Amino acid sequence: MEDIAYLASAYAVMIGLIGWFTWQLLDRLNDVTARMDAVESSLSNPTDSEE
Amino acid sequence: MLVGLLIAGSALVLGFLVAPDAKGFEGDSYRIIFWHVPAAWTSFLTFGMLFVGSLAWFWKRSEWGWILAGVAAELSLLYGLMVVTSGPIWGAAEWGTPWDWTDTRLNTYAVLSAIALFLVLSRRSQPDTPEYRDVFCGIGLFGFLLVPLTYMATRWWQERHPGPVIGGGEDGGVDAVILQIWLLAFIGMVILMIGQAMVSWEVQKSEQRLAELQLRLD
Repeated sequence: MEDIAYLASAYAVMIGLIGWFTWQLLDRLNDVTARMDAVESSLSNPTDSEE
Repeated sequence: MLVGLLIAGSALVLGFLVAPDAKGFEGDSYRIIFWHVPAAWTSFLTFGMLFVGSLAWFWKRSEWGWILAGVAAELSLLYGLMVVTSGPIWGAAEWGTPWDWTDTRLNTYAVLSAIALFLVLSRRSQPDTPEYRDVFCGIGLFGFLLVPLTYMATRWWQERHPGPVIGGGEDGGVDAVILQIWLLAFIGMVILMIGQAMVSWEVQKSEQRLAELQLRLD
């Protein structure tokens, strides 16, 4: 394998890891925020959640 | 996070355009070190955070300690993976083999990353009980013990991994330009890591609050 190919693959992996980690972090933040809003609204309007 | 990424990215560009060839290494593959080394330094910081969080949980049964330990485990896994994936690629180019099972530095660092992987996976799969928290933080404390051992490994038992460049005595040392680029990349990664830690903290705090709210609903 060419020297430059090793270099490119190492940086592709490292950039990919940072991108994947940050994306899943923001995805989890959006998910938990939406679930919090849903639970809080059902707690403040208990009759709505019972219907 | 974006600021940190931009700074680390600038260091990378400087590593390609400005940094001289390194003594004792052939070709351009050595330029992997411009992120490999700062990622390793950043991972030592995150393992330090894991130690502080785990200690706070054991000592004071502190909620923030528990959240900090969880945040630090995730970040340790990220920066650990960056190191254990880029290292073997450089090893394949420079040594002709991606791994040397007789090299203590490689093996202790791999164990360190495996501990972070175990902590992250177990935290997502196990129920949150005081007993589980004790086990998690016990392993976190043990993991931190490997940090000084990993750091000193190239001084005590150097096999293949290059020797220390900072505080490495007369045989150590590195070109001043390379060192400056490393420090710039390290600053960038620390800023990126702090941004990621803040988001991760918010996620883990919200997940705990959500679990409490769901208990109330049940």
